[in-house]
Amino acid sequence: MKSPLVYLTAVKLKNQLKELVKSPAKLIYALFLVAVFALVAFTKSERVGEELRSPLELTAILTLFYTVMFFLVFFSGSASNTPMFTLSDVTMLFPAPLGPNKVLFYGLFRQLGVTLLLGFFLLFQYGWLNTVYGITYGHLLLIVAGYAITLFLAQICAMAVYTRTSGKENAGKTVHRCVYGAAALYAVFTLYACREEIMAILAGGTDWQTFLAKGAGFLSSFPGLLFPVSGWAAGMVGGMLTGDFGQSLLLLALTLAGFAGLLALILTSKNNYYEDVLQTAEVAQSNVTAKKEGRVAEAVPKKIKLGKTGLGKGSGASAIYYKHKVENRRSGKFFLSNISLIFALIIIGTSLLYRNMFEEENVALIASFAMGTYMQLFSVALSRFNRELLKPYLYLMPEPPLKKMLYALKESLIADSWEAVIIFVPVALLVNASATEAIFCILARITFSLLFLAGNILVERVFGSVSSKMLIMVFYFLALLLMAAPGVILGVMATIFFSEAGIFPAFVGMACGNIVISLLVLYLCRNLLQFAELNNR
Amino acid sequence: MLSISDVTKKYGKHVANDNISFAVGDGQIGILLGPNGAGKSTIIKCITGLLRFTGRIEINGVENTSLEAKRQLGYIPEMPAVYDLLTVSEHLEFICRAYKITDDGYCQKLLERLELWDKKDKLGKELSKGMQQKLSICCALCHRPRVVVFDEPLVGLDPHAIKVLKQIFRELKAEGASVLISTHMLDSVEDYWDVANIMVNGRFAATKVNDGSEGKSLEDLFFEITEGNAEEAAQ
Repeated sequence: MKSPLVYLTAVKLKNQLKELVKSPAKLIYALFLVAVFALVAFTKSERVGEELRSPLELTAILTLFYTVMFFLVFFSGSASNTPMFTLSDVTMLFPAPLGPNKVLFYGLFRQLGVTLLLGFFLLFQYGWLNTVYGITYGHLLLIVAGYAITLFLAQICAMAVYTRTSGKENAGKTVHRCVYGAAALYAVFTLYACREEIMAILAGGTDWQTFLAKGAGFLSSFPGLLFPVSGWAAGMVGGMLTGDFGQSLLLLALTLAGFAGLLALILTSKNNYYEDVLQTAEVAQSNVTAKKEGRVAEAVPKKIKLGKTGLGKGSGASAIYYKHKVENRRSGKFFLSNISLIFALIIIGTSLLYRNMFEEENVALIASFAMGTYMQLFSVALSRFNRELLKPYLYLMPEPPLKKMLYALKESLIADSWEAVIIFVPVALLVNASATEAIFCILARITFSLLFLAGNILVERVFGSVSSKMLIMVFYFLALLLMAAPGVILGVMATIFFSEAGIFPAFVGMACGNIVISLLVLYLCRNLLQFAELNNR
Repeated sequence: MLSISDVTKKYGKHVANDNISFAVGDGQIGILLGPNGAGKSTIIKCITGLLRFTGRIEINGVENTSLEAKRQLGYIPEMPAVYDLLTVSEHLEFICRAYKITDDGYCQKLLERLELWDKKDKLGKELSKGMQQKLSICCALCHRPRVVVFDEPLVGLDPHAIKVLKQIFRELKAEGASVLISTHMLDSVEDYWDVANIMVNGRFAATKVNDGSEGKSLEDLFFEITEGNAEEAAQ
């Protein structure tokens, strides 16, 4: 008879494939993703006559990226909503007469597949990676593999730490502090390697290019690549990119040894890993259930500072706005939610890269703006307004629908305006943009928030009764692209007609287009809050 | 008075509610019974204005989507609707402000009865599912609605809360409110219902009025309809 674990793996895989064929929504989504990938892959821009940037720089970027992902997964103990075991695995396999080690290997195998899937979004980076670093499809797959290895080992590390420290007071905290310490030490080493360049910048000679080159040099070579797991994975991939196969082999050996060591720590531990897994599986299951029931589990901090209690103000529809203010105060820092803060740091960091990639400041600002707008698509989808739509109170409240909608949008728009200022003031300084350009860039960003929020309302209004969450996501992105098109066209036209005025006409054009479309959509959907069409999707 | 006339709700080709009509009078408790997927939650969401439908639903004589109707309606959803980042007392403050009412101590009384007063400064995310359900009940009742709709209200509640909630049902009835309860727990409603509607496949298979006479229990009627001969049962 076939092993139950082999049977389970095979049947799950078979059913997932069958589900894809049976469900038109999932099939459309899969085809859509493939089409977008094909578009990215085949519409790469040619930089004729321009030299490719050094692959060492890419290795350094990978080291940093993998390291950030390693820490995120290591400290949360799981990669997003996909822990090593699902709740059904926990309830059926753990009490079954199967060896814990066999069950662990089943989980590891499953997790390897999941982490590879998580790396799928990296495939969409092919266009710019190819243009800037000459990356081929094979190289891209290596980058995805490195990413998967990092996430996979980060989870094994978290599990090893748990099994070894479980039941020992403060032991877990000590290990975490050691990891923080190692990270800090790594950062200090990196800065020490660039000390001369930093001193030069502090002395007024702002040669960021040399500083970045030195930093990249350190992070793409020994000892910069020796940071456990993420450094090794980046080094393995980097070695393949530069043709330094010796480095790749050495770091592969280190990775395998690390994996073996972690497995030994888990397998020889007196504590089993069940308790740890149970907790993460339960959290993941409650998130899945919440999504099915149309509730979005908010990514709130574990420890929330309550602060002053009470709404204090508000009557009728305006109570929604004051409620949102209280919720926002508790959910993040500096007016921004934690996820917005991460996005802001990424955009500011990327602008530094663009400043070095593009000689003209205008292009660097536009590129940062485009990157920011792309990320805004996702951050707006997580806005408080969208969460509010999933609760019944907004619909039950005895107030006119338009009034409720405007008050429900108010806080999101104010928060997005702060976000625009917090992101684009430093970006403008970094790329040497003028004050006028910065102001209009911020204005355009705010209008994109309005546009995307209106897009959410449109999708709710038109597709609210569609039961497939995946189809709604596809409609959401298509609707937003269509709604953004007039503004983008106006922006391009304004740039052409007023080419001597720099790039600020582009922002003005986009802002005008966005405002008109948003107001039109808001007017047409003014009765959205009359019905929810909450159908437990 | 809650009045539902010829209500049909479709999800694509699937008919979740097929031409349903019924009423729950002032001071009456109406019960919705039926197997999973019978359409109970759908009709409740239509009543509360959360779903679009064809037909007419009136709350005390006005259309259910009007502001006047919303003012008089209380809804306790099947899944507790709680904000993660608001404290228990802030939930009630929010509802009072949203409904433009001044709390005369009723909110505290509700919280005390459902054993939530000592947790008034706890955040929604820190509450267990049962406590979230109790908070959901307080939120739906704090503006003193005249028509109250409960969707599986007893699921997840502890024995004390079940006892208190049953008492609240009776009080609402005594105060002249119209109460509609959807439930699977037949024995929990056996001693205080006035009208029972049994739904199967989106339609009413039987309606029974509790006239105090001895006869088949709700449980017997339910199983006869869902597992036996419907015509025989309705007689």
